[in-house]
Amino acid sequence: MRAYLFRRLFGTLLTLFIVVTLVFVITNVIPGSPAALILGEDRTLEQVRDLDRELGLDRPLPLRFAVWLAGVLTGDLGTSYFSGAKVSEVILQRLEPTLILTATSAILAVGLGVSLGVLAALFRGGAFDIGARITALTAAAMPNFWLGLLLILLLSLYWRLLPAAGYVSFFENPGDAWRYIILPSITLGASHAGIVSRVARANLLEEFGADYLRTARAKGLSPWSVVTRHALRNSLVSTLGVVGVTLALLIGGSVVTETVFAVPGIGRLLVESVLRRDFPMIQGTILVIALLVALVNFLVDGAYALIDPRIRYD
Amino acid sequence: MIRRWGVARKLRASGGSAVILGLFAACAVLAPVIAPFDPTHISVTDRLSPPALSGPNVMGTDHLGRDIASRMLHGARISIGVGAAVVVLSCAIGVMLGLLGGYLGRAGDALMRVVDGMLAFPELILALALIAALGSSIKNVIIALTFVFVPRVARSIHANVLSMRSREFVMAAVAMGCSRFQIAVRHLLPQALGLISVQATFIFAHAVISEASLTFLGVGLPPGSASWGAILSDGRDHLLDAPWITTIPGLAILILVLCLNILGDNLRDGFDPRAGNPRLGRARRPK
Amino acid sequence: MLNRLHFSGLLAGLSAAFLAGAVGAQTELKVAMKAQPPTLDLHVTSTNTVRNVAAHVNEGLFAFDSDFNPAPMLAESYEISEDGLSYTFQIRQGVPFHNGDILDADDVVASLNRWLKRSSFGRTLSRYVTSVDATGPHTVVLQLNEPANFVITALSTWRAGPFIYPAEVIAAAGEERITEFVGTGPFQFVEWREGQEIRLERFADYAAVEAPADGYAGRKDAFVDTLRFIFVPELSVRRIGVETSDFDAALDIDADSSERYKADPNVMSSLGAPRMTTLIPNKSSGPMASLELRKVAQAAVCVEDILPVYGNADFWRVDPSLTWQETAWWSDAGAALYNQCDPEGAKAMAEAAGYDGTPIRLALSSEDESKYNVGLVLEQQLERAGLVVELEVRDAAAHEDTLDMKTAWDLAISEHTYRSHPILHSHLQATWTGWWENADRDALVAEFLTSSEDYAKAIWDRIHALYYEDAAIIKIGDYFEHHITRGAVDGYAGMPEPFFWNVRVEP
Repeated sequence: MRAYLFRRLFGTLLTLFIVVTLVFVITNVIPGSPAALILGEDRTLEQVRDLDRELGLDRPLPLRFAVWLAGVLTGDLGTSYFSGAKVSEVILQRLEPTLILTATSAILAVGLGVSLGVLAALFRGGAFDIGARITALTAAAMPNFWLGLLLILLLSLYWRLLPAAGYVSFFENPGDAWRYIILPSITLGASHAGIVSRVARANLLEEFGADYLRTARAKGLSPWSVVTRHALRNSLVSTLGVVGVTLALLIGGSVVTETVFAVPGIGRLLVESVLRRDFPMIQGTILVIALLVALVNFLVDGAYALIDPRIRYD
Repeated sequence: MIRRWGVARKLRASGGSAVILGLFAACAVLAPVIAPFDPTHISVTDRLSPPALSGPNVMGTDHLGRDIASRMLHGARISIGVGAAVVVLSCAIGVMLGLLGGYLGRAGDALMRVVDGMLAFPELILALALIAALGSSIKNVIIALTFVFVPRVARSIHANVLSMRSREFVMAAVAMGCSRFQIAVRHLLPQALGLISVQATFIFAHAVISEASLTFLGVGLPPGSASWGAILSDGRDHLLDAPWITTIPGLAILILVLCLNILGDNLRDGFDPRAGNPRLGRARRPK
Repeated sequence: MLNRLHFSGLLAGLSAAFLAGAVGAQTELKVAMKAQPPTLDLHVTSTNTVRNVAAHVNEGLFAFDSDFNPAPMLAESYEISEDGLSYTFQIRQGVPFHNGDILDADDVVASLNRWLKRSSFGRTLSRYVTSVDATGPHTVVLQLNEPANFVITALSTWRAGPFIYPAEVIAAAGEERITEFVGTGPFQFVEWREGQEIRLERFADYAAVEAPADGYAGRKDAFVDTLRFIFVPELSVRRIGVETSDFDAALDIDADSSERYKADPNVMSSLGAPRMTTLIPNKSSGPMASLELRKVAQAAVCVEDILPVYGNADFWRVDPSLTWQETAWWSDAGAALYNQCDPEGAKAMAEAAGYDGTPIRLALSSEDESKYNVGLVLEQQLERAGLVVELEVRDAAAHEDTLDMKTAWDLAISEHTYRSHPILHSHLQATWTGWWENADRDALVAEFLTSSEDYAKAIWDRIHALYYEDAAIIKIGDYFEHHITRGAVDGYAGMPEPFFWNVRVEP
């Protein structure tokens, strides 16, 4: 177990290093000038050169990478080219909305997905099954941003139930915060709920065909307790893997939702930083996102191993 | 043989999807012939006119006065073309990597580690970084999305190869002195074809949505290109005053992806109910 | 419709009652804007977003009134010496900064010196400036090396303008950008939540000038306690937010929506700053370095087929001038060459010039939709004149970088922001994008800047004609920005650039 953990840790660190180096090289060779964006329409070449010097962009690429890497090892991710804010502070600030949005969407996706899937499996072939399947397929087939805009149109503009956009922190104003998170969560969670429900349905149906269930039925257990005690548990184990991958996907997939609903999350931070070539911010954000995804994968594998002792650590 | 029969039945059951997909494909192929106008022709004086069955613009016009019906027809070429190109490329490369990974011993393991590393990266963000690096064009969107899906295909092919390796017929082939290459191509590849065709439909569906999302974020196709995603993305500023610009491509994408998913689901049920959705990456099953 | 109004009125009443009960008399104004500013250092940048926010925090020596004449703000009065070489400014006394310091001559000297060095206009003016000195606790003298007629105008500008910061803040920034946003304005900076919002608060000790409010000048009062600039990238969402009262104002809204709001008492639609769309040829290298080809492009352009991309006819106008109608500098010298709309003639000119089909690269940014649309129409028009046009689309950062490279592009589209004086136009400088080197222009500009005001207009007309003769910039037309406010927002001024002092939100 310990050797396995070490290997996993080493592999993760190696992956991180490769990712970060690649991103540094890629982002720095693409054309684009942060200085020109800061200075605006009236800039002169002289001003651009001066600002490049201020930002350290006149130094050679390997030196810049070395300086950045040295900074990371001492816990300093640098400062934004634009606002001048510390990268680590900005990331911390913008991680909160993404984590909350990811968590709420995941709860929605898993809760809704599993219950839909289980019910669909229990009433296989019936109206509910078909209805659930159509809903799930439709949810998974809608472009995210269109769904988001339609939800705003319906729930904010016509019914005036929820605010159109913005973000309020749960730590500052919990009474208001939930109103702002509902629409983005539905938007982000919907397609994943669809996928989870399909997997949950398929897994449960497969369990129904398994030998041990027939044995249990033969022993005289009621159909209900067969489902709840045996089939459901085992099918959930198989569904867990999907949930983990869903979580990892949500972290990256929140970009579009954050843009539509003006949620100041880390996905949007990355897109904005790439678009304006805020190199320290791009590097820091990629590092944190990659770390998070690795962590989620690791936790899911761990949970999987705990629930299902058949897993071999190789 | 029972399996094959199952596939045929499922295919019949999803005949509706297939017909609709065929219709879309026909639109794509025939677009230059049946489109009433040049999809790029701008006529700003006719901008934002609503759909009218009797008028010249059946589906209305967009903010530059371009005919939406024509743009939708030509858009089918780009949207379906991008999807198809991504499917072909990512399946070809992914299958190759998966087979290599399963049959190269240590080097193959190392290869799969790299694939795992790429999988750890959120797909949209990977595509975003690549397009930012390459510039926005149809070609680069295809390259970026291929990059995203290759590891997913490679992963599941690899898993399939590993599980097949211990099957009797492969053992027998080994005993008969077949080379690794022969085994991979003659025995393992045909076995994986079902899995590949299932993945292909899901990748197709997902590529269409991803292209739309990337264009929405401003890094996909250049604005003004006539893909469904681009038309949808172009129209979003006019959501309140000219809802038809977004509704038409939105529904088209919805129907296309829905049909692909139904087809993929049924194919999967026919071949192997356990095969993974590529969107879900690795099939986490105990070995 | 009636139903909806009734319902929203009820909701507004309820939420107002809730606000009054919960947080007392605190009032808040929420402004939705598209993107966050790149920095809040007003000296460095000329971008809109920065000005929109920071103009509430910082003030300059002068500000424009509603007729765009300079009016005193932090300066109390000024005198110009007989020879026109020395400007003496009396600074208002007892004006507190947000950090508690009191404004004095040293702050003004430090700010002006930094502005002369850092900003694009400052650099233009600095060629004429020999020194800026404090000669008393509230007296500043600006010494010129030759008389210049645009000094006060330049000091009134709000775009990359000479805003006054405390001397300590400027010393602390050194060679870098300012990060302590301290000023003398009616609102003080509280917090910049990266990617979310910038929050300003009423400055209780604000020292207003006595003159009545007039344009950007005169008395400024903060009637709301908190002013929040919230970054909402999606245009439709900004609009919906104002319609549902989630936001009180939204900036940069598409002009088409004004139709919808004409009949809606809940949303007020207002024209924003006029802007000017031009086609910029690269005069330093490539095919467009040839005057003949520039003339071809000039002849091919049909502005009536381009301007409707900016919305209905209220939002754009056909105008040959490179200076605005709103100013005394409007000119139609050379206008015969404007809007020729003559593709046949242009084609003949191209053949006569021996154009060999060399592709002409039209550089566009994918992030700037209106310029992009103009580019698409222009491509069609230029191709009709027989030119081969290649669209080169990049994201904003790469596009701007491309424009800074002399050999990377041939044509670009610019949307110039409002300027009240020709000297504030960056395209007058040979160093600006497109690199218009012209000895006649240089001689005329030198004469223009130092001539007496009576003659200046006549000289400007000659320069203006030169723009057309040299096809240095191909004017397309003017259009207006569009902002919307909630019906309950009162006192929002119809000035080109939005501001929210003297603005109340009805409970």
